[in-house]
Amino acid sequence: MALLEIKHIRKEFVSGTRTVQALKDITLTIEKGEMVAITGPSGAGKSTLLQICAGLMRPTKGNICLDGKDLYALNDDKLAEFRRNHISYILQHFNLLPMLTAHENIAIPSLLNDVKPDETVLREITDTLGITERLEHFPAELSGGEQQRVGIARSLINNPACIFADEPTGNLDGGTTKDVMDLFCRLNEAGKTIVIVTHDPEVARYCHREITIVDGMIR
Amino acid sequence: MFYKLMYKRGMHKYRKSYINILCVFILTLSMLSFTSIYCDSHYNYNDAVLIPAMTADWTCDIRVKNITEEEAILYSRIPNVDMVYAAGNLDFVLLDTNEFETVLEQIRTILNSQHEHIHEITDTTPTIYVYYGRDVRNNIDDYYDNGVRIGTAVFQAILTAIGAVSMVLIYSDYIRQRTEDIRTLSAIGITERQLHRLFFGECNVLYLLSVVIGIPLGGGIAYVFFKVCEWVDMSDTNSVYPVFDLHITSLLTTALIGYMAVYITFQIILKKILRIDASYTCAESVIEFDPDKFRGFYYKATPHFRAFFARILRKRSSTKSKSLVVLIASIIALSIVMLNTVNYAIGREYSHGEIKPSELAAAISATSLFIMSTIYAILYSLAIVAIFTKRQMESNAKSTQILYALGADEHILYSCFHRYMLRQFTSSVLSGFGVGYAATVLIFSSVNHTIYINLWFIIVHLVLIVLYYFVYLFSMKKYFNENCRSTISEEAGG
Repeated sequence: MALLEIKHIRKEFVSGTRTVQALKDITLTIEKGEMVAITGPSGAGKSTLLQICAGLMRPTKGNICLDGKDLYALNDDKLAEFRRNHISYILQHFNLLPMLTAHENIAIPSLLNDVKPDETVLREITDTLGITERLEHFPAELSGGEQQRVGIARSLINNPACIFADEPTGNLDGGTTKDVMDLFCRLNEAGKTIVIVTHDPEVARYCHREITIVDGMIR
Repeated sequence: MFYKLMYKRGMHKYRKSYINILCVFILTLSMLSFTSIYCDSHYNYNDAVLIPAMTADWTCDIRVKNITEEEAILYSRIPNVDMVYAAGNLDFVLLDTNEFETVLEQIRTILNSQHEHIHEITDTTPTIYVYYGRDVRNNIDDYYDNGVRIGTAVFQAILTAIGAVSMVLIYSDYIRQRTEDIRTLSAIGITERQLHRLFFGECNVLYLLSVVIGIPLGGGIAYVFFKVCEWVDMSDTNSVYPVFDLHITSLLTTALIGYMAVYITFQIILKKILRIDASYTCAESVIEFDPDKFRGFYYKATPHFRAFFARILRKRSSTKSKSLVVLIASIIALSIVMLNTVNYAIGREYSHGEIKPSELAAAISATSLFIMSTIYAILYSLAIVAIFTKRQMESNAKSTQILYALGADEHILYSCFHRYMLRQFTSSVLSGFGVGYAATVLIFSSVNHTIYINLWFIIVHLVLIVLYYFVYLFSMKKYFNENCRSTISEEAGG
């Protein structure tokens, strides 16, 4: 059953008088429970595709259906709410709010829904990720691997249908990369659909399918 | 819960920024409250019951002002006059114009017997001009009062506009610091409405704090200003000076105007906030370099590097930074015009001969609006200079970091920035002084006034230049150390 349907996506960036075609008519389907790697050289359009899929950037043409919902038919506020509850996005630079503790960072998506996070669920997630002991620390007091785990925990708190990760291991050393990828595999086994953008062939090897993008097109 | 958490944590992380914003808000609110109180103050005519009397075409008329109806009855025994009492004034129409001095003397006698210890009748009592039966003096009074009010409103409007610019600048600076937070929150799924509420709440709290501090501060300054002058015995002068008067309505109006300025500022900033694109969270790349590989390259280029980098800084300076120089120069020009006006009003009479303390106090009191407006304009321009310098240093932090890693010497980099800032200081201060003096000459010559130069005036100019230079230098050093130097040592191990 298809969870994510990408239909004829085009994305153009205008810079002065120049128009750059970042994505040229991409059509793709990702099944529920799949773990997919999007690879390709720098500037190929991998991150742009991921951002469009995650509802962060409107495409110039085409549409994205996630769980049967046309993302870009929603207005900005509705799209933000949908993103918050159905999609999670993990970033290379962790992007934790520096003034919040790890616990508070993880709780933010729930708090945006104006509900307190379920502490049992939160503990389960952090136990799985091995960061329960570090919950009261601020991001600056955590290592890169720990920060990424907090980012992953944050992305799981609202139980999203699909997880998008943009170079999640880009800032991590070899050992931590393996830990994080093992974690993604466990989440995938638990039923989560995961889409990862990566340069690293080792990371791509963890996934069921590898999609290579070159010059804005699927190769 | 979300907002509470963000405010609580933000208070620790962004305390410095909050204090900076609060300072600019307080400055604006105190300025508004000072000018409003000035506008509301009544004008003291030394408590004298005035007998304006005059003869423009040698037709005579006399008016006794500020008396009650009961007091007016006492004058009914004066012969050869028709009397009309209205609105606290008793008008005498002489039946025989040759009797002018006699009637005037009789009026003075009654006035003295009635108000001997309360009111002083002096020879300097201003006269009135009766021209074709029209009381011109009354019109002049009205014009004067209206002029003061209109003038105050104009000052308020100009200073509020400058205040709003400072608020936008300081707030943008704060939003720049929070850009990454906003991007992250957007990626997580914060809605525009929630972002609006988050920052609007913060803005309102800061505004309320600034009302609590700023309005009493402005009122306090006005009170001290007026009271100090009131304590000086000014009975020997015929000067008109404002007397401290507090109206709750004007304070409410002040709070309302302040809020409007804050609200407009917030709307401008909100547009910036909503333009922040969540997609950049992932697009951002870290510039990677190998310091060891390139170290030494720029050491070789050192003799030319200083000139090269200073030229780059100058050439690549954005339009925004150029417009900020124009803004600073304009505010300096405004301060120069006001400074000359103050010097004209205070120094004109006393440039020769002995200065009577009472007259000086009256002149200072009467020109307190100009004095305070000048001070506020200077404070605003200094705040803008500091924000502007901070921005410059922050925007150059990355380049400095890379240049240092490539082998550029810290002292050379600092001297390049110093040279660049010195240029900006010189151009903004010189053009500000130039435009200010051009405007002063233009305005003064159109109203037949001359510019007075005296010692205190020269000292004030020197102090002003030193102050601007100090703020430029201090901010540059501070923000170089905060942004460039610390980055150097952390990132490149220098």
